[in-house]
Amino acid sequence: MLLKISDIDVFYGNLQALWGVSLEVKSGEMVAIAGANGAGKTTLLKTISGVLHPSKGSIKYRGEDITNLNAYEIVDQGISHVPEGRKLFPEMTVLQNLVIGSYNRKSRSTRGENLARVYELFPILEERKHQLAKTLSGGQQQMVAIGRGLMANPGVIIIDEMSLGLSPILVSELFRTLHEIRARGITILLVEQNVWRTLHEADRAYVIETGRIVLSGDALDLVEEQEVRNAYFGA
Amino acid sequence: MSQLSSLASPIVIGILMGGLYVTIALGLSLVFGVMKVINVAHGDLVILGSYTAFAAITIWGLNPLLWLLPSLPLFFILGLLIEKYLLHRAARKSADAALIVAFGLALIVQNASQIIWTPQTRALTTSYSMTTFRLGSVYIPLVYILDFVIALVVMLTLRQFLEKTYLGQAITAASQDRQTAELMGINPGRVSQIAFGIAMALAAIAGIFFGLTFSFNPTSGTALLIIAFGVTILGGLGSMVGTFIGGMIFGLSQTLGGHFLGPTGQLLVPFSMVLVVLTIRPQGLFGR
Amino acid sequence: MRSYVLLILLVAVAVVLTLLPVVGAPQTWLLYLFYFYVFLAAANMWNLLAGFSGLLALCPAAFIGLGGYSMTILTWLGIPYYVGIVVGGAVAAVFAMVISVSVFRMRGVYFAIGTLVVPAILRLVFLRWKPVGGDLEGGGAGYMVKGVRAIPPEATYWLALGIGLVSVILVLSILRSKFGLGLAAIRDNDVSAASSGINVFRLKLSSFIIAACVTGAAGAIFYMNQGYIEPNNAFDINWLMIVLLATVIGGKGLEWGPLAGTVIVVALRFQMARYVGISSLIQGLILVVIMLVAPQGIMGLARDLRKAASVRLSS
Repeated sequence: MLLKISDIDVFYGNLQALWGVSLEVKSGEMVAIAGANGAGKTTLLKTISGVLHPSKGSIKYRGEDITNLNAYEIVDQGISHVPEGRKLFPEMTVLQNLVIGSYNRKSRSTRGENLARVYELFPILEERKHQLAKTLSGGQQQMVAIGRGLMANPGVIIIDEMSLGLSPILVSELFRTLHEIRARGITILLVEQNVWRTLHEADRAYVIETGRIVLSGDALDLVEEQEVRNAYFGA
Repeated sequence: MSQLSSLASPIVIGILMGGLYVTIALGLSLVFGVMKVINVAHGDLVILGSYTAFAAITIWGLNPLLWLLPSLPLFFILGLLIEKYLLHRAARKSADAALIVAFGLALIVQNASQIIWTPQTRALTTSYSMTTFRLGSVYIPLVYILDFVIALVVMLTLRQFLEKTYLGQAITAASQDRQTAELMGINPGRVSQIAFGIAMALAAIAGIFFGLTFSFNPTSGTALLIIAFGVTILGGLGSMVGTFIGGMIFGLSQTLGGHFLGPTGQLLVPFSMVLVVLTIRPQGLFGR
Repeated sequence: MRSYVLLILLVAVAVVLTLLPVVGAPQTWLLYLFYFYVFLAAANMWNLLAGFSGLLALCPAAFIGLGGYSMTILTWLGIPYYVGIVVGGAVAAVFAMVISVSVFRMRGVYFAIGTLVVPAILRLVFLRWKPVGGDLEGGGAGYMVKGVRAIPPEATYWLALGIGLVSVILVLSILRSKFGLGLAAIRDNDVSAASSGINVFRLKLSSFIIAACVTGAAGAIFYMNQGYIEPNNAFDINWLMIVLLATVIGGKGLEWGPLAGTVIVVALRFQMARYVGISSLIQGLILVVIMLVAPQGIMGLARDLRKAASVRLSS
């Protein structure tokens, strides 16, 4: 068990956002968290990456309790978070954005290798490495964001709403790359609004609705589930 | 013809003197970028730098340029402490709180200086204070050239630091997006502390050169703050080139203001320019 | 506290204070109170801006100085001081209107620094500009208040009491009015206040002008008592420190905050009058400490204690 989230409650001030959420990710898997807008997906991700903290429950990574670590400490542990909306540093170049991804101590020494691998996965980034991040297209920015996440030598990479605002072709390309990343031994946790697509790419999935996990299981099984079809595919 | 040539001196001096304002403004904008707080005590901390250099001369006979070396780590550490124990706590409560605490700090520094060194005007006089060079009809005191040179040195060093080191890049990243920077493993609290420490070191440098160039008293800091703020805003946040040009412009506004309007004009013109810039173009010339 | 109870209390206090010079209260009391009233007026107005309208305006010295100068200059033109005081308030108000064109385009910290520059500029202007009297007092930049000796001391006291009361009544009535509701909405959230139809700009501008007017009048009264005005004092940052300290100690954004704070500020001033440098240093220290430890001020602490007590009672 690589990442284990046990029964967490998360509050925004006095407002509860997550109720008793539990989820598990095994090494080498691609797990999806699917749900509608506002269901709590981003809250869950923020809690995993340490931006928020649960009031109840625990989060364990490789057996270590990381529940109350700060966000900047969690990267050190091996969890990389690619945020919703890409959130590149706008005034920095592609290269600078990638390099800052290796800020945490452990990944600094392997910076060169990591960079080479990112360029392998996304050759276009090498072409545009001196271009300012804010001038890139949505798809290219997503590539930089994922690349930046990879620079941190993560064991798990969490990607929030990768497909938002991108064309289906680009999304397919990105999924192809995700599989390549997974082949290199990096576990992937995906959060997506695009439920149909995601369930066809991931191994397993959890469906989250208004702050609670309502369904979980093998992704393709979930595609068949009547509830899922009704709620998300309108079929 | 003589009308124009009589302008040569204030123009040259103004540009050179602008270097001082660049050095002062760099510290202010560094903190503003990372912590999103204007340290209204910055001007007074620069003057504190002048006063400590003054103490170094009077107590140990130490040349201010030599005092530069020990003052850097001293002020850096002072900066770390101020950020950690004062500004950080205040900023957590609210933006207004940070401003007010900084203001309190300014008062403390001003009055402490007044108590220790009296309200009397002081200056850092050295053997080369009077050295002047001549370029055509313009007389350029050495200290102004030093002001300009040190600005260039500081700028280039700072730029190298910000672009080539992990810590520098961390500061830049945190200035652009604090939360995402944290996702990179950057500790925003520590980064703020270090940025403030650097800003204080810059204030020490600026203070020494300011004291070499001008006379000062405990209340001189307020004017420096206003002008440095103007330089920061005019140049545009995040643009070092912009800050440099802004410094030159404000230096010119001071000398030309003095040239046309007499001694009052020296501050009146720059101050008015600050208001104008704030009103019309708060994002500055080069800002984003 | 019910409105009529409050009103009765206020009237009672006002009557007592008014009678003090008549019943032969000691001069030191009257002097303390004079400063108290003037500072209270300035602090109340600053609280109106920074505490209630979300305008961290660092320019109170501008209004004080302009009020003082208007009154003084008018005495040189033969216009009596009591008219001068009204004019002082008016001049400050008009000035506020004029600079609002510039400063109201600034937000947040830009507004703060922008307003900080204003009195600095005025100081420089008045160092040079001598509209009346030509070269006087040995070439200095200051003015005597003409006919200051003819002003009866009770008059100064009563005028100060007046402006202090005006400031209190103004704050109390504004906060209980629709204007006050609008301000509260703005303070909580500018954007949503605007989207619910509140004219944010007009409310803020009104606060700004009102505050300027009363502060200006207070300044005029202050310099009337002083008998002499000069730019380094009139536009000094010290004025900002006084109102800031009084408001913060008492409780920013609380209606009785400035009152509590001014009591302490005046007491401090008088106790430490001998140690001028140290007193300012201490005031700076107090400002920092209060902001870090008890930013809600005395009145805020009192309110929190009351809440805690009532929670305990109800549980």
